[in-house]
Amino acid sequence: MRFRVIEPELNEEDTLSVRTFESLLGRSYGRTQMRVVADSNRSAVSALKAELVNTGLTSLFLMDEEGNDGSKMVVAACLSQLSGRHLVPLGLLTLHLISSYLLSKSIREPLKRVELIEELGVKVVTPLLNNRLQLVDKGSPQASLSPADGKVSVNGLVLDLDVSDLVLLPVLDDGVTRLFLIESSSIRRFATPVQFIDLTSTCQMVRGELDVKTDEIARYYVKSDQILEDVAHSSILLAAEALGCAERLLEMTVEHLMVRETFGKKVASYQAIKHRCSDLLVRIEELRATVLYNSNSKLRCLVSKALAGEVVTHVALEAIQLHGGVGFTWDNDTHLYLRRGKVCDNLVIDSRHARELLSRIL
Amino acid sequence: MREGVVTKDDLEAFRRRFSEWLERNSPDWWPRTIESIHRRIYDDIIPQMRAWQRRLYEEGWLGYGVPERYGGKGGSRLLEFVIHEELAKRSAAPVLNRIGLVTALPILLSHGTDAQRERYVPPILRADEIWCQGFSEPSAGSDLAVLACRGEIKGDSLIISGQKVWSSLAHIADYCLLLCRTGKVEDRHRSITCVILPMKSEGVRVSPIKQITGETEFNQIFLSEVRVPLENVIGELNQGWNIAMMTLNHERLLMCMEMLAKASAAFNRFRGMIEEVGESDKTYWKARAVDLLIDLEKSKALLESMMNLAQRGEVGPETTIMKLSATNAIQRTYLTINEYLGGGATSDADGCDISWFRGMLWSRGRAIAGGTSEVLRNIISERILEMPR
Ligand SMILES: Cc1cc2nc3c(=O)[nH]c(=O)nc-3n(C[C@H](O)[C@H](O)[C@H](O)COP(=O)(O)OP(=O)(O)OC[C@H]3O[C@@H](n4cnc5c(N)ncnc54)[C@H](O)[C@@H]3O)c2cc1C
Repeated sequence: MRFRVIEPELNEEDTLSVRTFESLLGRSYGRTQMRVVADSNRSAVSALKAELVNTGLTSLFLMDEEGNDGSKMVVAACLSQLSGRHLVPLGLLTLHLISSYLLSKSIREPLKRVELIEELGVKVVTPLLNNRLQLVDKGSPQASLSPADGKVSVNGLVLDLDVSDLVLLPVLDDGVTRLFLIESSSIRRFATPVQFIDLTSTCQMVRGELDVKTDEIARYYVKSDQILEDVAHSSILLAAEALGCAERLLEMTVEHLMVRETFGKKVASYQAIKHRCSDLLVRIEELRATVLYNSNSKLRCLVSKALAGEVVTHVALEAIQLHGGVGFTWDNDTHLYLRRGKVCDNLVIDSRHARELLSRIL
Repeated sequence: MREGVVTKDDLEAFRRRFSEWLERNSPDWWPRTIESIHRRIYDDIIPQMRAWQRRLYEEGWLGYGVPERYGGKGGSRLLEFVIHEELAKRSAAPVLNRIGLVTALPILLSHGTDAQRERYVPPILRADEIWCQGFSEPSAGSDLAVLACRGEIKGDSLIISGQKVWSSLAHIADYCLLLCRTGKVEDRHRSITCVILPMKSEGVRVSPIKQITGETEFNQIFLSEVRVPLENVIGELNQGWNIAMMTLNHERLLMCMEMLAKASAAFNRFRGMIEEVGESDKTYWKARAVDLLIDLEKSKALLESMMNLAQRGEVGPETTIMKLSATNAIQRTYLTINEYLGGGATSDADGCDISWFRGMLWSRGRAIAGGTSEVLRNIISERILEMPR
């Protein structure tokens, strides 16, 4: 069952990209594999990664130099939305897209870009987050450079480190935040797994010191004066991820209600239930519109991010309720989506921060 | 009805041109305060409003989507929607013959005879003849298909008897787009006919209804053996239901455009108000303003996506989603502003502004007119989510 009301405006090539990802998911990351992943067997994730990198979709934001971020962002949003529907580990796609977007915005010299594409085209990048899952925050930074000895101290979280090749570090360097890119292997030795609410992603705590001078670090050393700006823009992808979760939740719920009977008729025929489902659809379509029709404006992206957390949480809680006892069981997928939704709500820029930025724009 | 093709860029360029023109030409007899938006259509300004619509028409801003031989300008109807939206956004005087333009005219174009089009379309555009809509009845509102107003065929006439209610502008209308029963009630929507009723006909009595805002914009219409020539039937006998429903999605879309335009205007004023709040309260009211901003932006994004469908001529039942969204945005905006102003919106004493209370009352009607929110939820669940009846 699939209710789609608003469609993105994509050209043929972009439509093909989205279809490619969708059929890849159908093939390699169906519900059965996803459930296995949720039980911490990650073999399906590695298989998916290999195929995904092959499609070239991971280099979406690195491909050409000149502009047109807007239409690429819509394609990326469609991919993230599918990621949300299928509960693809966050580090594999959405966080990678966000990281590579930030890199593409930071590196302006064409030559460097070419170099980067060669390097990154076949790799997955994931960001170092602070312990509240934020990428840039007001508190103490998750990585900072000490100019005296050239060491970078790292203290934060990385999602899905097992499938990432590179880690993007927002490093506080003499009062400014710069982006460093390092091999994941150099950080793995500091990593310890932590319990994480999202069962289809993993979370590692990393705490240690890296040496900038040694080979294993600092492949790129890029400056970004407007990192918060770029982060705000790219956070639309987490709204898209949440959208994917929310739409799947509503589908599952309606599917269940169409089968389940009480008092001699389908639960789906009770008006109180129908109206609740309609309200969910309205909220989901509003979110979809802010994700797909954002005109690449910072305001719309922030609105979308702030809205997404609220919508996906609400839809997930309603979905649990409308499934009855089944909704309270581990085997039912609703809680997996609630978990992912809650993480999206708080990831990279949490709703509180997004709202604060909005109130400054006001 | 298929739209003439129009791109987003065309629409935006047109919007810019109109808004520049409006800047210079907006009539000053229509006060640009919030109050004016909900101002009763006083009989004493009807002539000015007529003249204003005529001017809009003569300056080339109305008549899009209408073939030239009926006095129109061809092109896409969406261009005209932009006009209504801009007028609402700037709290400028609206178009008087709204029902004529938005409901009657498209129906005449798609189902009317040539003679009907030639006769009725030009005066609609020029506001020479005002139209109202006679669909709802005391016992048929949400369930319109049970309407009881009878139309008996006698010779070459229909003899119409019954009662209509909530008919906006009927007190000043020259014509009514009327639905009446020309067969058995059990046949529900299959025995309803759409007819042009001259309001000056013998046997028509209009009785105004005062609204909660204190204004009188809608009316009851009593029909007692009103004789209307059969040539006034639009389309075939008993085919009125489909004809009437045809324009529904576009009407809803326009309603939403106007609601959001008004909500944006109100929100901008609210933004100004909270700039003056003391520091201790500012954070709180800014957070409330962010809530409203999110409500508004999500609804505007939805409207953009709907306009996109409409540009391709594909707008359908999803306008129900749009209307629930826009209604929420406008209602929340007025409620929040009333909450902010507190006692300052309860009287017209010095420094107070009672119009915000009236605005809030007006916004409640948006969830009733054009299909109640409950009925829209039924439609969404049954037609889009495909849940059983
Ligand atoms: C400002 C305004 C202007 C209007 N202008 C016009 C006009 O120009 N011409 C015209 O013809 N009409 C007009 N209307 C009438 C409008 O279309 C009707 O009021 C509307 O369709 C609702 O019908 P009703 O008033 O009979 O309410 P009812 O149908 O009696 O509904 C009463 C309540 O029951 C709910 N309800 C009804 N059926 C169901 C159901 N199946 N499931 C769940 N809940 C249900 C409704 O949502 C509502 O809350 C106007 C109304 C307003 C408010």
